[in-house]
Amino acid sequence: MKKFFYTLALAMVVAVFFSAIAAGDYMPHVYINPGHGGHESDDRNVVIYPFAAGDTSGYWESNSNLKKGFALNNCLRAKGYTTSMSRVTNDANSDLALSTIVALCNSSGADIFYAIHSNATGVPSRRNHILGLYRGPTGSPVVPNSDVLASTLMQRLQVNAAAVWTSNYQIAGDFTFYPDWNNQGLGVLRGNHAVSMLSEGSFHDYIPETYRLMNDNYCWMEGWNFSLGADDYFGYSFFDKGAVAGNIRDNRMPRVINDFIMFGDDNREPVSNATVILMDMNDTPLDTCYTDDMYNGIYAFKMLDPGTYKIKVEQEHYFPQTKEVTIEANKSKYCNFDLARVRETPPEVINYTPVWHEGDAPLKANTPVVFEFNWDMNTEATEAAFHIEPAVEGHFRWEDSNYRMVFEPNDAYDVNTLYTVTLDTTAEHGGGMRLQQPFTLQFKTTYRKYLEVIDIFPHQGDKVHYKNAIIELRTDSMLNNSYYYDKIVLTDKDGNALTYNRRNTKTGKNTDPFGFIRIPVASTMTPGEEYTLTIYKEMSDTAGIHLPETIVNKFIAVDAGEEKPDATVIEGFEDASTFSMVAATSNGQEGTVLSNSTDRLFGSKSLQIKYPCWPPFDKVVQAIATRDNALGGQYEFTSTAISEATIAGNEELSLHIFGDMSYVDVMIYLSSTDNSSPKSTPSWVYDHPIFDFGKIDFHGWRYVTGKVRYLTGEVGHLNPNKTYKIESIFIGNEPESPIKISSATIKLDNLLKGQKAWVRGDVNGDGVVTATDITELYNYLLNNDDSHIVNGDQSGDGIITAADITAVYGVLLGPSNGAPAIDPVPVPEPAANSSVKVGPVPSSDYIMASAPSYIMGVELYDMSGNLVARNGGNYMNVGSMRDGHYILKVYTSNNVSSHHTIVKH
Amino acid sequence: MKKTLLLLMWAWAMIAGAQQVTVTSSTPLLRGIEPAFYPTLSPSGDRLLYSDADAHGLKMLDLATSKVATISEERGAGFDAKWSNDGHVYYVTSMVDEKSRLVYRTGKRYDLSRQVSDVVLEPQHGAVHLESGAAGMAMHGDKRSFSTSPKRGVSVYTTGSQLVVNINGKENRYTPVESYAGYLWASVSPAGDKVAFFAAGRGIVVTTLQGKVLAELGNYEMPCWFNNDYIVAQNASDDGYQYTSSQILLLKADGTWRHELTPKTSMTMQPTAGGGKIAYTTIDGNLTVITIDINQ
Repeated sequence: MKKFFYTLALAMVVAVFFSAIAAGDYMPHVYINPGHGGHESDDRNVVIYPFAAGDTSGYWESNSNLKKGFALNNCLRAKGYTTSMSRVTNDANSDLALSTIVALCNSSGADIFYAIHSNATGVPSRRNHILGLYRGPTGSPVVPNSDVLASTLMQRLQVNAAAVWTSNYQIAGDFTFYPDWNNQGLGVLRGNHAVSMLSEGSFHDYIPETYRLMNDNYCWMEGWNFSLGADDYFGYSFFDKGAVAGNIRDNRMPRVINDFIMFGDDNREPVSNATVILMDMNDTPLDTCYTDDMYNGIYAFKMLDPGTYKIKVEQEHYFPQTKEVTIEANKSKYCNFDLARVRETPPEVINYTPVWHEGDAPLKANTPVVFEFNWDMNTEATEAAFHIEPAVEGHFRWEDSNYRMVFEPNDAYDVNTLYTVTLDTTAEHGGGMRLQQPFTLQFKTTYRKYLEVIDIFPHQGDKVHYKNAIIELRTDSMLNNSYYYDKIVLTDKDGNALTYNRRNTKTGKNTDPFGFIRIPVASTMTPGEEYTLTIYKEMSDTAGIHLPETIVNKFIAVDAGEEKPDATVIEGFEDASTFSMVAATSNGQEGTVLSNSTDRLFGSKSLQIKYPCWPPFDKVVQAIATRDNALGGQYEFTSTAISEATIAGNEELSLHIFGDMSYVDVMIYLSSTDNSSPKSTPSWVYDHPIFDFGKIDFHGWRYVTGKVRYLTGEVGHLNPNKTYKIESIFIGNEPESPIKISSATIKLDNLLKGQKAWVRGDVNGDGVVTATDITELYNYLLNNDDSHIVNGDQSGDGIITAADITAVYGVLLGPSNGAPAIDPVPVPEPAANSSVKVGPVPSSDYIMASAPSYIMGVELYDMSGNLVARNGGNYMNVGSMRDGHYILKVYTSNNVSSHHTIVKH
Repeated sequence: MKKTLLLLMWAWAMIAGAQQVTVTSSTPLLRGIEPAFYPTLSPSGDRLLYSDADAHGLKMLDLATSKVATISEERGAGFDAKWSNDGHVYYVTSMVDEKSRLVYRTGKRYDLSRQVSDVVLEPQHGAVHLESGAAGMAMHGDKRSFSTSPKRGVSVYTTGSQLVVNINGKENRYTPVESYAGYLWASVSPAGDKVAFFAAGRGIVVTTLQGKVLAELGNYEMPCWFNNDYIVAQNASDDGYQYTSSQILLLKADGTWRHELTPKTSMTMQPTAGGGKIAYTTIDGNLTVITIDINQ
């Protein structure tokens, strides 16, 4: 008996002790930091239907973090913990600085610190898992037990079966997780003396999860699970309440809103506006909640006494369903429902395309066959019931949650063919009832099968100025202006997509003579690097006719404005007022010249020429030659500097041209001063050679060395023994232009003259080494005909002999025999990711990088590609580095991008 | 009258705006030796306390001899270390109790002459706040407290959203401005007539000893008095994970003027002032001490 009383007394003491704990005397203090805040640039907005970008009612990470924070705060207080929160509102003022949050936590006397966040991939791929981070290397937290805190929480979050997880949770120290951050770690954990961690509770850019995070109950459950994690950490189990939550989905129907990546059960339609009733085992209702209309199907019942309950789900379009659940104290229960739709009638085709009758106009050769049904269909059975004659290989696509079936041929149908499509009575809906009658339709195809390409810039092998590049696709019909950015992709050598200036993209209109899309490239390329323009086969016109195949053009970025120290500037095009028309040939159809300060390579201006492109080239040439403006319409102009300049026969002219893909031809007209033409007749032909800079089939700046041709059209060379006077610049249409442009606007900068580049083996000076060069040497040796010889002495011994012919053979046979060397390729890489920002430029102390995803580290390279410095975190200390140009490589959790930067002290 | 007042204000603003600041010296410290964070200059400016990036451990640098003394190697020692009026260093260390997993904090005093630390406040659960006055030092814990003397001149500290002002042993609590998250970094001006502190969500606030707001200086952090009229502060921004800029500002305590001592891109932070000197570090622990001349 005495023993009993001792035992009773001891039990009472223990009870008083634990009641004291429960009353809060010795309870832990928890600091809660709902991450981000203020709906500003350092917040995270995910645009989901029906919200516009930036709408604060839509999804923002700061909103869901705060909801979770409130729930955690309330749950902890209900359990007797003391708490502090870094914010209870969501405005700019409540978005506290990192150092402030750390100092507030330390000053509060907190035992543990939870930073509540969610994650994002930042790239097109999606995933959904939980990540817990603490300060320090993995396994060696700076503040002891922080890894234990993370572990207890992660286990509690992982049980959330209302979510769809793509992998199990991950726990890591931030020094290890961000190996290049140089142990800087996460800002809210640095200097934090509480046992602390940052939770990335899920991926908020996985859109089904985004919708779930819009739900208050879903966020509450995460906050509740945080409180269970805290209990586990401190070893508490005295709280006597539990909770149940779940996800209610259609048992087979795909999501109605589905233009995003989904995994597992998230592919099925969540049931909105369902009534969820909590009942005791005698079916007496105890509580009711509802799923919202935010496409998540989430429900929850909170703070329940342990015991067994029934949960009944009702929704007007579904059969009701009831399940039993057993609630345990200090645990989360998840109970999902898959509801069956009520389908009371057999399936019918209520709409279809194409609707075609004999005598109607034939249809385009890629017309899809579309059936719309009165019910969501059993996709496997309905596809098996589909037949088309003549047989066509194709694929099915289901839309509108299986209410609409679309059949598309894998390639275009045959042209001028009658097709018959039948859906037989084995087609059935999701409830298993079959089509009552077979359904048949017919259509006939037209003659046109593919979208035809007129031109693409850059062309295969082009050299493109690295800045402000423009890409263009021209086609024989108007392009479909929807979703073309993912069908025209420009990538660097590592496959990183360059960004476009979408605002200034131009597309063809019905009044244009061809279809086109012209896209300015926002990213700056790196000279010397190879880039790839890919235009996918799916690019189509307004009729849906697509390309016959995917087009891949590789090109090299160059600096068209590279200095040419050995050349002389004849005209800098700085002042348009010094230019005048040559009246004799510009007969009123001429264009205009203006100074342009926006697009320039040298000095402060370039010369902009606007030209009405109607006269054909051959007429222009003839008009120039004969000074007959009756043939004209050509545009010929000159300046004092040009008209006073001369060029020796062993020199060549080069011009910087900003093209507009107008196919006009830019030329410079010369006249001989001594009339000693290598051929005597007609003298006007050879006394007036032209430097032809080629047709403008490109966009942006290009450095072009002119090729000599004569008014006859013959390609040739200047007489090395003569001096020529430079007369004028003129523009005309190319006779072989694939399409006529009504107007051209090109720009010119620095006209240079310099020694003609000597190409080994190029005897006749046409810029290429061919068998003709050997013929020219034979003609010289046999007939003393030197009329086409510019570089006959290949060996440099002062005479032309058979040995020189052997040398030209050597060049023709291969590079080892003396072909020009290939230019070395510089190492620096292009800026590939405009979402990463780097600045300031220039910088004297620190270069900072910012990005929407974690920055794991930065590396600085010199322009030769040598690694200069590496640093963890998002900055580089350049205080002791030499002035100059550098490339900063920024490593985010998902990407690597390179950025040109300048150090200047 | 209104017009005259506006004119006077304009003229006064112009005069204030005419002030110029010259950095008269700038000395890098501890470069190549170790990174230093949480610097705290002594009132005379001849010594400087510093810690590591996590405020673990506490060291003292003698600016005249460049000698470094280790005061503590314990966790949390560097977070809020303070110099007392008698030249000692007071600091708080923290440790996680293995059994209860609660964090316990211990108050310590480093005696410069003996070069040893003594426990002045036994380990306890909960917050411990340091209060440094012209005539004494106190440590306030949730369970126990310590003070060198009941009358410590004018001293201040913050707890939650309260500014606690102690004038010769008489304590008053004020909430001069609303701040849900709380107050931090309170200090008394050298002349003992004003208080500067930081209110989360509001920024730096200057009040009388009775809690009357004299000026709000802007949403900057870590204010400390350079002299009785000027305050040095940190102006930092971040992306929620890492810092994106940080600089040191010189602010006039009446809120009429501010000057950027370092550019935003300098990543300078954690300013301290004492004895006419200003010290600060950078995100990677590059410590610098400067002197300035304010042409008024």
